[in-house]
Amino acid sequence: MKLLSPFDHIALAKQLELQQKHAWDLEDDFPWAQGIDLEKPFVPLDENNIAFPGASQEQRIALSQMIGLMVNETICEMECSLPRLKYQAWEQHLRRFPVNPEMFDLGELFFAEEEKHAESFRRYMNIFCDQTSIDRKTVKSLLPNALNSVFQKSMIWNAEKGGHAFWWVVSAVEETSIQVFKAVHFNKEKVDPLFYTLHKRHAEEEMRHENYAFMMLDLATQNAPNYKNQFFNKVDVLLSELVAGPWVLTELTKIFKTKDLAKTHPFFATVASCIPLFENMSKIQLARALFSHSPYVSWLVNPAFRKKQKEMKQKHHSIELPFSEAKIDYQKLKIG
Amino acid sequence: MEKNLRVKQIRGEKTSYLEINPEGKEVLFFFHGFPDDAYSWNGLLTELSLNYHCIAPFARGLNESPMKDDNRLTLDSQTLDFLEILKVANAENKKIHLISHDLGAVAAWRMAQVLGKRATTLTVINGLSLKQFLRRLTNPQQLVKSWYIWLLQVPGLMETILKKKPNFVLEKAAALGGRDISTFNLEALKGFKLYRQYLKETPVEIKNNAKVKARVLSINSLEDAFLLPTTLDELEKDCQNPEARIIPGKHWIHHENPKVVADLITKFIGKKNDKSQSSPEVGL
Repeated sequence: MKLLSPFDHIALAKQLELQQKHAWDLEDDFPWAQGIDLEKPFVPLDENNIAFPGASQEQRIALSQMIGLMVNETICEMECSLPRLKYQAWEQHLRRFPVNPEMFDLGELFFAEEEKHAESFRRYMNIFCDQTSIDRKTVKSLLPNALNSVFQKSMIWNAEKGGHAFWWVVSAVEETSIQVFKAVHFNKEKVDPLFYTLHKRHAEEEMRHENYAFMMLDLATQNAPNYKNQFFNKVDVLLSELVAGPWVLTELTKIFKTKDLAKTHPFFATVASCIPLFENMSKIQLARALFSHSPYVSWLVNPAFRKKQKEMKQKHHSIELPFSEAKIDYQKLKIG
Repeated sequence: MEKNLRVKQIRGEKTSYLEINPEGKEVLFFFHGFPDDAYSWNGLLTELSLNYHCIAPFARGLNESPMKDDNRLTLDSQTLDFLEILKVANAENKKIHLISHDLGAVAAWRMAQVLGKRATTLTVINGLSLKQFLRRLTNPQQLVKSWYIWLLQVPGLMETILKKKPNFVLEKAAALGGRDISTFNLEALKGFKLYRQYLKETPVEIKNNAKVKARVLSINSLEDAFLLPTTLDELEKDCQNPEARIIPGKHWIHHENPKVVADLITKFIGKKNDKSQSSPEVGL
């Protein structure tokens, strides 16, 4: 990621031009018509299948698809939260500290791109539901939902008070979504081609615009140095980590609802058949697995996986949770 | 720059101003701040005078613009002087762009109000209108940054300093504003009377709700020791669709980096009058 200075209006104008030039089109740049290959997994799993050790081949595919949908929905939910916070977390800050019109234009494009991304994930979900004949509402009830959650309310509260926790969450989700694509890319031939394209396109634009969140965080340190700003600079990242992680873990537990749905569809039956594998793990094993070495889940809930935030945390003199460094080994994520 | 000095009779008083490239089709009219004079625009004049007819008056009391009567310091009187200078320089029928710094912004905002649509753009570099300053009186951070304004109101204090330790003020200004002290002119300190005059005008100014019709560009320095950056909310109370920029540097940013400031002004002036925000394209 190339970190730009929010004060470098010439570089910002070039960045805007670059993003506009390479923006993909939701209709033309996806093979929607070819549909989803339901025989194939969506995301590669580790040897523990996230937290379902000993799953059979059939269970692994169902788990991979379920986790893939959860990953999609988590990103989609985060992206859907953006317009809700656009005024408090973005426009209000820039109006108080109007660095330049290019920063406004890039921000408008950033939000427009995020809406487009959310729409692409929604469309994938719809195709999945159509092909499997699963009711959309039923699938949605199993997947993460941010609307009116403590997580979303905390972000709104923080932004209204002048904090930037929202941008820490955005930068975390962007980094994670690029990590998700890398994991999928290592298994390109084996995953559903539409799922691959979805994440490829998403990662392309995320990589191009991920520096925007960091520029907003950079501006937070440049604003008038009063006690309130200094306080938020110190605690915003902590708040973002303390509310986003538990939200992800709580939303994951919705997978247990598949037990009640097992009789309604074979997909749910297979996923539900994995629940005992999860329950076989001790609570300590489970906590360790989810926090430290479960792909996708750990990447979101454990800040140690986010390398790009490190420098900005130092600039903000942020209070950090004491986690040891973590590294993703993409080679260990395999299919089959 | 001396060769560009003009001294004319304006409204019955000798008045001096710098004038470069009178053939230019559009006029740039400069308003300097304190403790400055028209020569403080040298850097920008060098950058901009190739393409524009540049006029930079001295505040009354400086150079060869004597101040025989305090009434010539009122905002209205200054505005009448400026309008007359435009006439004498054959510039009144050209496109007029106002450029101001620091205290000069007070007169520039007023001039823009008076000129109405005749003023095409107003650029404010680290400055505020009187009304904007009054609105900031509830902001403790700005009150602290404006410490010198309160000191200048103390009767006799500045006069004594000017007699006994004239360099003191310039040393302070140079240190806080990030400018080489040798670029200041000691005579410019006489301009402190404007601070007293403007404060006297606040009861009238507080009722002045006139909006500026010119397009407005506000340039603020990131490390300005005397002003907080102007917010869009502040600007929109006085004009429509303002453009605001914050750039790295200190209070005398046009000294520090004249090229960057000149580029921003040229780009802004060159923009078409339609300020409808260009909405970024996205392939949705």
